Amino acid sequence: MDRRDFLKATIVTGITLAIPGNASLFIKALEAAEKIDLVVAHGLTPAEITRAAIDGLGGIRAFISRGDIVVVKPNIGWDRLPEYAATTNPEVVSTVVALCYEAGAKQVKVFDHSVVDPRRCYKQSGISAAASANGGIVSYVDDRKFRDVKLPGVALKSWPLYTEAIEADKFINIPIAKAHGLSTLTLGMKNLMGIMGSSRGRIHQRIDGSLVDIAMAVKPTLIILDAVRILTANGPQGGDLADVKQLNTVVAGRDQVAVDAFGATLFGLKGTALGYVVAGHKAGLGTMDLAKLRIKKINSAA
Amino acid sequence: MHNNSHARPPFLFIFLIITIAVSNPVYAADLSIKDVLPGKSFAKDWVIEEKVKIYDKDTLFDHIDGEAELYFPYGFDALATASYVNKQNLDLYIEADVYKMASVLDAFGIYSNYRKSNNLWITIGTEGFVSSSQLMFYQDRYFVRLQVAGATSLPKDTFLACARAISGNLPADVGPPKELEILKISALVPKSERYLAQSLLGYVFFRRGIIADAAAQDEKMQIFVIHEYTLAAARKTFDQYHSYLKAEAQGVQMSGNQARMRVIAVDPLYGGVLVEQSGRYIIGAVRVKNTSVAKQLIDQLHERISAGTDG
Repeated sequence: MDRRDFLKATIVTGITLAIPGNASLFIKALEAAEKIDLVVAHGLTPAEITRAAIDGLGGIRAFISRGDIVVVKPNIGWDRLPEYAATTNPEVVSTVVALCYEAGAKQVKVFDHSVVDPRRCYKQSGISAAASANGGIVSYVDDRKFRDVKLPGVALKSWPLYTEAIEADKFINIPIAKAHGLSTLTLGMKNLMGIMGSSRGRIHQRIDGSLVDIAMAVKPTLIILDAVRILTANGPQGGDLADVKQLNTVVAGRDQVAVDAFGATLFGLKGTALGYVVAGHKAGLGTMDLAKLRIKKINSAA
Repeated sequence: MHNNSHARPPFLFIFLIITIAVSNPVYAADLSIKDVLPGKSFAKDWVIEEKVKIYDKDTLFDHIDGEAELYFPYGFDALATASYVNKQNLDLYIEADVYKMASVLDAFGIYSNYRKSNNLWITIGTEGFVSSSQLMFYQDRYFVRLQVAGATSLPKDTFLACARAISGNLPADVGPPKELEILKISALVPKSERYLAQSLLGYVFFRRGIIADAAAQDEKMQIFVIHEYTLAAARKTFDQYHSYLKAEAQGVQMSGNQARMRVIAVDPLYGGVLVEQSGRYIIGAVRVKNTSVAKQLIDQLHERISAGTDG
């Protein structure tokens, strides 16, 4: 037990003994104040894990305020059922939508720039139905809503980005963790390509720097990495259940580099194996050094 | 005035042309990528949705995102893709992709990236496999990938019907790439060969090559072959690896002569290695625990090269 833990235990014990009725609220606030960097939640259902992960960071109200217009950006890139782990788990997405409304959000918009036919991607992924059921405003990306945005970047100086994403009060990135032919893994930063317009293929020629430039400009309020199922090979489109591994895990954090660095460990890799993680760390976007982070692990199934 | 006797030759000529056309296989040079997929249907209840779409090097990303990078080193030329929807269940599709690659070796190479040892093999094309959700095969310069959408499984017969329809539109099977012949020693684990079109073993100086699993005398390792176009190029590649080992590895031992150089070392990434320059080839074994077994396998590879089994 370090000094911080000792002080926390002492204060909590004192408060609990003095005013038992307020103890749980106090503990929650104290944990939030501790600035947990990452929460890694494990459990039985995607909804339960997602709630646990966000609660571990201090609860949704630490991120969403009353009246906010929120954009929730899952991966809906492929025409695949959730079992294939090519798209974000629909229950993770719908849970985040519900939590945002619980926190008083005015609107929660859900969209992605699908790689193939969006009608089929939205339906087969289960995301359209699940998010809509909880009040999410689900829409297809409209090419007319991209506008050139100047980027404070090295690889990219400007790029067309989706207006609704950059103008939202809050932006929550919900990638799925999966293998990727080019970038080794696609995690949080890579998922931001779903708000990019123009010919995204050009990005792939200098992908690491480009992802950092976009991540610097967008800076999500919260990143929720879906690792309920992960795609371990033949990504990003997958298609073979033999490549899918069930982890029943969700990782949540504010630091894009840290979330992706931790995401790499789910595949037996270090963050240093991912060019964009290293580039993001060097650019000051976040930290890839997991030893320096306060990581809270929750097992809601226990 | 027309003479009826003059009308016969054109009919005969047209009949002969049609007869020749339908009785001959499709030739690679004559085939357009847009004709490789069934135009309307491949089986009862399975009909094409919209039209066949064509992608090229500039647009492949629009169809398969970053996975496109995997295809470019294999000389990707064009992709024809179509979705076939089931009339009884409009949420059930087969997505059919036919990739035209630079050569038979390249088509095999991209196919071998997806092949797994426990696949269920099929007899369509040069080689192929089917699972509950996918079917893949290669034939001539073409790599074919079928994927079910809207379900996690599909009856095997449905996949096979679609695959046969596509196979019939492709140039006739010319067999596997001859470059695989060198690795056909008794220790080779069948269907474990992979052709990597860049950075074999992750080393940039091993620009391209074929790697496979091998098992002999209770030892498991991987064997590989790299074909360079000249003796000088092979020597240069060998020297680059040797230099790397001298800088990074332990227990580096060099032996041999100008025609056949050999290095044994503990590679930092692959453990025990035995690598040899054999004429225009670099042949080797990695993840070696027993060097004497590896030597036997390398000698067998060398013999196959010397015997002219070198593609």
